[in-house]
Amino acid sequence: MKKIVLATLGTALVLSASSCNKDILDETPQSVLTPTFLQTSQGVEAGVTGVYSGLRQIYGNDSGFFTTVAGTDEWTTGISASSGLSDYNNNDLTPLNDGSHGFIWTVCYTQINNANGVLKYGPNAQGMAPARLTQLLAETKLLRANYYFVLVQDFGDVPLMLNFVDAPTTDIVRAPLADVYTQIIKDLNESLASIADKPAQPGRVTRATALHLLSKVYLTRATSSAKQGDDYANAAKYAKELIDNQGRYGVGLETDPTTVFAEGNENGKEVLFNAQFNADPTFSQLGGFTYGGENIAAFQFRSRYDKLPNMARDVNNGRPFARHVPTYYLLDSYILKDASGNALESGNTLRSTDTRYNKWFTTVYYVNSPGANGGNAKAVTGDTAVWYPGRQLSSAKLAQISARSPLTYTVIQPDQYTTEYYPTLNKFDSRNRTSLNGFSTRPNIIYRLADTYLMAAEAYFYLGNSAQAATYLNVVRERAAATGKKAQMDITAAQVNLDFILDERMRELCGEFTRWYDLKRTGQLLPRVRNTAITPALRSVTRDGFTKGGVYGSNAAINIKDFHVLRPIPQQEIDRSAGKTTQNPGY
Amino acid sequence: MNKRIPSSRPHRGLKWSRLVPLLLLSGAMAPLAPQAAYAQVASAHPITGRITSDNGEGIPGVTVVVKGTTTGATTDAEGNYTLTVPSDNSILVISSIGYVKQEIAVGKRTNVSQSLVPETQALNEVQVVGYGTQKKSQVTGAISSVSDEQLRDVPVANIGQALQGRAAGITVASNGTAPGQSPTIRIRGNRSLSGSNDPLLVVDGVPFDGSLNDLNPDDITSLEVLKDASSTAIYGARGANGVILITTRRGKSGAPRVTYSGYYGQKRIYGRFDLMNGEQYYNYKLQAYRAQSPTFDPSAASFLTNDERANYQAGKTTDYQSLLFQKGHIQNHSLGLSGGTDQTQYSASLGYYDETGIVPVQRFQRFSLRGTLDQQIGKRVKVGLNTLNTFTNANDPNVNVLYQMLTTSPLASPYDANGQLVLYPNGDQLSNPLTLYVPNAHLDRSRRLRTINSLYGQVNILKGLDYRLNVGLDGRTQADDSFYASVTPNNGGGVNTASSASSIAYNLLAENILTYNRNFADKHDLNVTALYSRQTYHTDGFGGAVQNTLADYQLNTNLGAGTPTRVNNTTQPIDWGLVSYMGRINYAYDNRYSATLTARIDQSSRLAPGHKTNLFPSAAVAWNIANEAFLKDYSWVSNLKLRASLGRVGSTAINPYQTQGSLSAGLGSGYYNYGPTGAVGVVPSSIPNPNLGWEYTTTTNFGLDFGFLENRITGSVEVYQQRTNDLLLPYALPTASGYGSVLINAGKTQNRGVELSLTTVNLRAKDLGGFEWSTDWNFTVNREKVLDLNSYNSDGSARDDIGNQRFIGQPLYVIYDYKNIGIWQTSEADLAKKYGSKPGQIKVQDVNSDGVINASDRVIVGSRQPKFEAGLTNRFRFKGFDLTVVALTRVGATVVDPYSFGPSYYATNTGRRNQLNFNYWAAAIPGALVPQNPNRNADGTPADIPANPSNDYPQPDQTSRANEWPTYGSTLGYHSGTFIKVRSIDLGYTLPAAWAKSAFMTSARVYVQVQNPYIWAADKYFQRNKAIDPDALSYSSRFSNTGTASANIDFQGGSNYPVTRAFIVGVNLGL
Repeated sequence: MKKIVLATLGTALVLSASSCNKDILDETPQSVLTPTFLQTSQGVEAGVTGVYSGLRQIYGNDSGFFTTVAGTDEWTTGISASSGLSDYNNNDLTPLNDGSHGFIWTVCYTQINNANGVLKYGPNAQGMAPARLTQLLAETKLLRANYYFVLVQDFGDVPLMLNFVDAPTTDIVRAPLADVYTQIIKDLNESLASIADKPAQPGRVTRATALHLLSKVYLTRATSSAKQGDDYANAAKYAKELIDNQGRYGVGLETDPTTVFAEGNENGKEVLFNAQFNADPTFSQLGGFTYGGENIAAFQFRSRYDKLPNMARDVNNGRPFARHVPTYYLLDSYILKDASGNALESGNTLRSTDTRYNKWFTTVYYVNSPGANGGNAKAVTGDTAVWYPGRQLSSAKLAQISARSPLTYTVIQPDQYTTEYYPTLNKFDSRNRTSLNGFSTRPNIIYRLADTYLMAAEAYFYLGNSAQAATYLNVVRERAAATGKKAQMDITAAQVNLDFILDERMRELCGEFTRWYDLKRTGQLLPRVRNTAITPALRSVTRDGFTKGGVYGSNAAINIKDFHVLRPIPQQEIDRSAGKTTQNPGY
Repeated sequence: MNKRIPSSRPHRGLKWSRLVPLLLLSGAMAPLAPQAAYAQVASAHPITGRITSDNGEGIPGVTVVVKGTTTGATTDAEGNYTLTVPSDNSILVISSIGYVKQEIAVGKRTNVSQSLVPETQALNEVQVVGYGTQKKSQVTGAISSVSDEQLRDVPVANIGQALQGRAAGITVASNGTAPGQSPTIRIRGNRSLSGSNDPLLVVDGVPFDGSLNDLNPDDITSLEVLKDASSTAIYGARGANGVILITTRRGKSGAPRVTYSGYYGQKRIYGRFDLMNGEQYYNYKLQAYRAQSPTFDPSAASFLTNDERANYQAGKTTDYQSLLFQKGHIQNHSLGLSGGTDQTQYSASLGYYDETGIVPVQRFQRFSLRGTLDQQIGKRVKVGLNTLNTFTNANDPNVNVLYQMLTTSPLASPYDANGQLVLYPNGDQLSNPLTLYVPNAHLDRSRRLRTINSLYGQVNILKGLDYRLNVGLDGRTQADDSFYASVTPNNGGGVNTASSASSIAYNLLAENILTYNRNFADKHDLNVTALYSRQTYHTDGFGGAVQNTLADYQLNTNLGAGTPTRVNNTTQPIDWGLVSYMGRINYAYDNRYSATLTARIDQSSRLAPGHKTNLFPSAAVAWNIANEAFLKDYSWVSNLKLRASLGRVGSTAINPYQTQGSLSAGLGSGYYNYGPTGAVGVVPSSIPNPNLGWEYTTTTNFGLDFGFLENRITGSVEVYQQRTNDLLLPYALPTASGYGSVLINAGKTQNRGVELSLTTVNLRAKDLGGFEWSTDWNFTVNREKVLDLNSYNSDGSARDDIGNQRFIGQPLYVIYDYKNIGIWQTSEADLAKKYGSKPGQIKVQDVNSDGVINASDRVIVGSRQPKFEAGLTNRFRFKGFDLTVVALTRVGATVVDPYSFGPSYYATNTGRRNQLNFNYWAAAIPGALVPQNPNRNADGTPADIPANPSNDYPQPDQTSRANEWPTYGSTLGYHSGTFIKVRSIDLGYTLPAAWAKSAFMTSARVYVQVQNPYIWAADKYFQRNKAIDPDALSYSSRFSNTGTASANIDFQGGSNYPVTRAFIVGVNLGL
C-alpha cells in the first residue's frame, strides 16, 4: 500500500515537473484579432468595412446634426437641443463641454488610423485578386479624405496622421491647413485613378463620389487661408465632369423631390454617398442608445405632435426629439419671390410654386388617439387633428375651423411656433422602424447630385460665369416646380448672387449635414447668425386657445463670437499631448 | 529554553470595576517560580515524585527523562513516578503535551515533585501562513487574523462582510444592499491605477478566482490577511494587493459531532430618499420655466399633461418609494457533521442561504455542500480531500429601478383609467418602474455552479522532511438569462428582447511542496519550504440575444421564435498559465530570534516573450523580546515581539493577450451593412505593447506585537511603506492617434501607513459565568501618493497628468473639478454676469483670478482616501448571556454621490424629471400660480412662494438645457464621506449545559441581532437622505477617473439600493 502511494506521488511529481512549460506559457490568442489580421484578404475587407462604419457615427448620431445643422440660419433651438451648439452657449461650447465635436474628432481619427492600417497592411494581403485589392484601397483613400475634410472644416489646422499607429505617442501637433488640404486632394486624386464608376454594393463609394467630393474640397479651400488660384476652376471642372457623364456613373436627378427622400430609395440614382443602416438587428443598432452605430436622424426634427389633442406617439409619426426648429427664414424661403425680393404668392397660394416645402415638411397630423391630451373622445381616427397652415389665418377662417363639424382640430399658425410645435422636416422619417422608440432603419444621404449642381453653380458664380451658374440652379429649381410652373421657378443670370445660391442650397439641402459648412465656406456664418431677422431671438410665445406659453428662437445672435468659425479642439487632446496640440483662438 | 514562564493563572484579586489604567498600575504580578520540596541525598539514587497541574491534580503520562540519557519513566494515573538517577548532577527533563517543558536539577533530593504550567497559546499557537503554518511566536510577517469566534459575531452573506471593521489595514466597503452583492476589499489602500486592487484569495491553499458569494461563510473557520511582503512574497506575482487565506473546517478526531446553525431575519430600508412630492415637483418645475421666462404661466398646456394637472389640483402624488420598497427576508441554515479517529478525520456540511431584496423579485439563494476527509496511511503517508460546492441563483442581479423610482413624475398617474399601467406616465421618456413587476414582464437571472476541490497526498520521507502534492480543480459554470417585455423601461414600448448566455471557467493547479521542519539542540528551529507549481486557467462562453419573440410568457425559453440581434461569444476563450518556483527558509533561534527568507520565481503567459519570468524576493526578521532574560522579572509583559520585513511582490494586472494589440468588431465599432447585406468590419482598439511587464510593489514593514498583564492587553502596531513601481498605466493618448489610451509600465505610487490592533480584556470574570468585557480595537491610517507618472517638466520634475486626472503627491483617486463656492446671489448679479452667469447659478471659484472660468480653474476638490478608518468590537458576557457590538468609522474621504452629481442624470435642473428634494435657489412665485401651496394667506388664498437665497443648489432653469444638468453641475455631487456605522448588536444566550443535555444537545445558543442599528453621516445631505450610504460610495466602482466628460469623472451608471436595517433571530446547536 505504502509503496503504491509513494510510487504514485513520485510519478506525479516527475510528470508535473517534466511536462513542457513552454506550452502553458505561450500565448496564442485565437479569439482576439490583432492588427496583422489586416494583412489577410479577409482582413482587408473587414478593415475597409470598419472604415465605412465610422460614417454611421459621423452621419447618424446627435453629434452629426448638432455640428452641421444647429446654430445656422435654417434652424433654431428645439426643446431638447441639448448640446448648446444651437445658440453658441458659452457654457457648453467649450473645449471641455463640447462633447459633440469631441466625438466627431475621435471618430474621424479612429477611422483615419483604421484606414492607415488598411493602407499599410493591405498591399501585402495574400490570396486576393489584384483588382479587388486596388478597388478597396481606392475606397479607403476616399474615405480617409472625407474624414480629414470633416476635421479641417470644423477645426482648421489638424494633426495629419498618415501612418498606422503601432506605438504609443503623445507627440502630436496640428499640421497647417494647407498641408491637410494637399493630402485630401492627393488621396482623392489617387482614388479617382482606380476606383470603380458604379458601386458593387449599395453604400460603396465610387468615382462619382470622388468627383463630387473633389469639387466640394476645392470649393471649400477656395475661401480658406490655403486657397489656390485655380480652386474654383477645379471645383467647376470636377462638378461638371460628374454632371456631364451621369450615364457613365449611373446617376441622375430624380424627377420629383418627394422621390429623393422616399423610404427605400436611399441608394437611388441621385445619391452619391450615404451612411448605411438597415433593419437587420444584427448589423444595425435598432434599440438602446449606445452613442455608437444608431441612426437617430428620424427623431431630430420631429415636433411634439404627441402632446397635441387626439394625438399619441406612434411609429408612423415617429419619435419627437424636437431638437431643431425651422427658422421663419427657412420656411419663408419657399415663398416664390421676384428679382427684387417681393413675394409673388400670398394667402393659400403661399409656397405653391416651389413644391419642396409641402413635400419635405409635415404640416398635418391625423387623429390616432381620440381623446388624448385633452382632445375629444369622439374624434375619428384618421380625421385631421392638427394643421400648421404656414400662414396667419383670418379670424373668419379660424372661426370656421372651430365650428367644424363634427369636430374642430388644432391650428398652429406661424406666430405660435415654439420649441415644441412647428412644421417638421420629414426627409429622414422612418416608418419601417420596428418599435415606437426604435432607431431609423434607413441609410442617411450625405452627398447627392442636386448638391453637385449647386456646387457647380457656386463655382461658376465665383468664376464670373453667372449665366452658367443660373443654368445649373435652374435645373434644381425646375425639378422643384409644381406642375406647369417650371418657368416661374427659373431665374436669370442677373439674379445670381451669393445670397441666392445660399438660399437655394437651403431650400434644397436643409437638414442634410451641410449648412454650417456652407455658411462658413461662404463667409456668411457670422453675418447670418447675428442677423436676428434670420436667426430669431428668444421670445416667449403666447397662444390663444389650448396653449398659453412657450418660447421660440435662441440667443445665437447675441452669443456668437468671431472665433466661432472654428470649433474648439477637445480639451483632452491638449491635456494628453501636454499642450503640443494647441487650442483654437478664443476658446 | 523557556526563560520566562508565562502564567495562565487568573488573578483573583482584581475587581471587575477596575478600568484599564488601573489594570496597568496593578500589573506587578508575583513571579510564579516552580516550587520544589527536596531533601539532601548523595550520588546515584532512586527518586520518586508526583507531577501535577497547577490545580494540584496529578497528570498521567508525563515523560520524565534524565537529560542526556535514555533513562526515564512515565507517570501513572495519579501522576506519580519512580526513577533512579545516575548522580547528584542529574537533570530531569519533564515533558508532556500541552505543558511547558521543565528541566530540574535533582541534587541530592529523593522526592522531586513538580507542578507543570500549561503551555499558553502565545507560545505554541500556530499561525496559518502561505503554504503552511508557523509557530506564532516565530512569525516574522504582518498578518491579521479573524478567528472563528469573530466570524460568528455577525451572521453574514459572505466573508467580505465578516471582515468589515474587524482588522486593521483592511478596508471593506459595502457595495449596496442588493442580495448577493460583494463588497470591495482593499488591503492597505489602492496602489494600482489600472490593475486590480483586489487581494488574492486562497481557499485551503488553492488560489480562488470569482465571487465571494461562492463561499458559504459557515464553512470557514479562520481568515488570515497577509499584509507585508514577508508574508505575501511567496505568492509572488499575485501578492501585491495582499492575500486573504481562507481556511475551511476539517474534521477532528473524536466522537461524531453534529452542529446546526440557523437564523431568520427581516430587513427594511434604513431610511428613505428625500424625494420631491407632487406639489414640490410642481414648484420646482415652475421655477425652471419662470427662470427662462419670468412671466411664465403654469396654465400653459405644455407645462403639465392633463393628467398631471388633475392630480396636482386633487393634491395627489405618486410615491414610488412606497409602492416599491418592501421588507426583505434573510434566512440561513447550516448543518454540519464532523468527527474521526486518529487515522481518519472527516467533516461534511450542508448550507442554504436565501435573501430577498427590498424591491420585488430581487433574490439571492445559495446551496452549498462540502466534505473533507483526511486519512493517515501507515506512519508516513497522509492523503486528504476537500470538496466545496455551491449553487447560487440570483434574481435581478442587473435590474436596478432606482432611476425610474426617483425620476418619474410624481404628479402623473401610474395607472390609466382602465387600471392598466402606463409606461410613460407623463408622456416623457421617464418610464414607470411598476411595469417591470407584472407577470411575464421581465426575467433577469444568473445561475452559477461552483466547485472547488483539492486533493493532497503527503509523505514523510525523513524525520522532518515531508513531500506534499496538492492538486486543485476549481471550476464554475454560469448561465445568465434575461427577458424584457415590450412595455418595460428597458424596451420602452419597442419589441421585446430576450437573451441567454452561459460560460465555463476552470483552474487546474498542481503544487509540489517539500518541507523540512526540525528542531536542533532545542534552540534551533529550522523550517524550509520549497515549491514548484503550475496553474492553468481557461474560460469561454456562448450566448445569444433576440428580439420580437412570439409569446411573453415563454420569457427566454424559446429564443428561436425571435429575430437574432446578437450571437457571439459572451466570454471569448481566454487561457493563461503560471509556472512558479518558490523557496522559503524560516529559522528561529531560542524562540528569541527568527528570520525568514523567501524567493519566488513566476513565469506568466500573459507577458510578452522575454518578459515572462520574474523574481520576487523578501527577507524578514523578528525579535521576541519577551523571551529575553532581562525581561524575565517583568511578568506583566506576556508578549513583546519586534518584526521587520522587506520584500517585493507583483501584480498580474495585465489581462491575457494585452501585449498583442487588438482590433474590435461589433455594433458601433466595425459592423456595417451594404444595403441588405450585413458586414463585419474591424476597428483598431488597442496598440501592441510587447514591453508590458508586471507592476512591482516593494514593501517595508515594521511591526510590534505585544501582550501585557497576562495578555489582557494584546495587540500589534504596524508601520509600513509600499512603493509600487512600473505601474500599469492606461496612459491616455491624444485620440488623434486613433486610440484613447495605451497600457504602459510607468510611474510610481506609494502607500505609507500605521495600523494599530488592540484587544483589551477590560473586565475579566472572577469565576465562571462572571461578568466579562473585552474590546477589539483597530485603527488604520493609510496615505496614498502618486510619485511619478513618467512625464516630466523641462526642469526634470515630475509632472501631473491632467488628462488622466493624476497628480504628483496626491492620492490615486482625486476629484479634479471646479471649486463650488455656492450660488450667485441677486446682489452679485453684476459680477456673475462678468463670468457669464446669473443669480441662481452655480458659483465656482476663479482660482487664477483672470476674470474667466475655464479649464485652468479646476483644482483638486477632494480625494476618495479617508483620513483614517477604525473599527471597534465590544463583547460582554455574563452568566449565559453574551452581547456583541460591532462598529466602524471612516473619516475624511470625499465621495461622489450619483443622485446629486449632474452627469449621472439623477438630478437635472430643467424640471423635466423628479429628483431629490434639494434646497435650491429660488425666485419668488406668486401664490396664484401655486394653488396647492399648503401655506395660506389669512384669507385662505395660497401664499406666495418666497425667494430662497440658497447656496446649496442652483435655480432650476429651462434655459440652460445643455445636458439637462446645470453648468458645473458635477460639483454638486461631492460630499463628505465621513460616517460612523454600528454594524450590529447581537445578544445571545447559551443554555446551561445541563439544560442542553436534557434536550440531547451538547451546546445550544440562541441570539437576536440587529444589523445596521445606527448610521451617522457627517454630511447633512446623507442625514436627510438616509437611503444613501456613504460607506457604499467610498470605493464605488461607479466612478472612474478616466472620464472625458465635462466632469472628468466617468459615471458608469446605476446606483446602490438603499442601506438596510435587519432584525435577526438565530440558534447555534451542537448535537
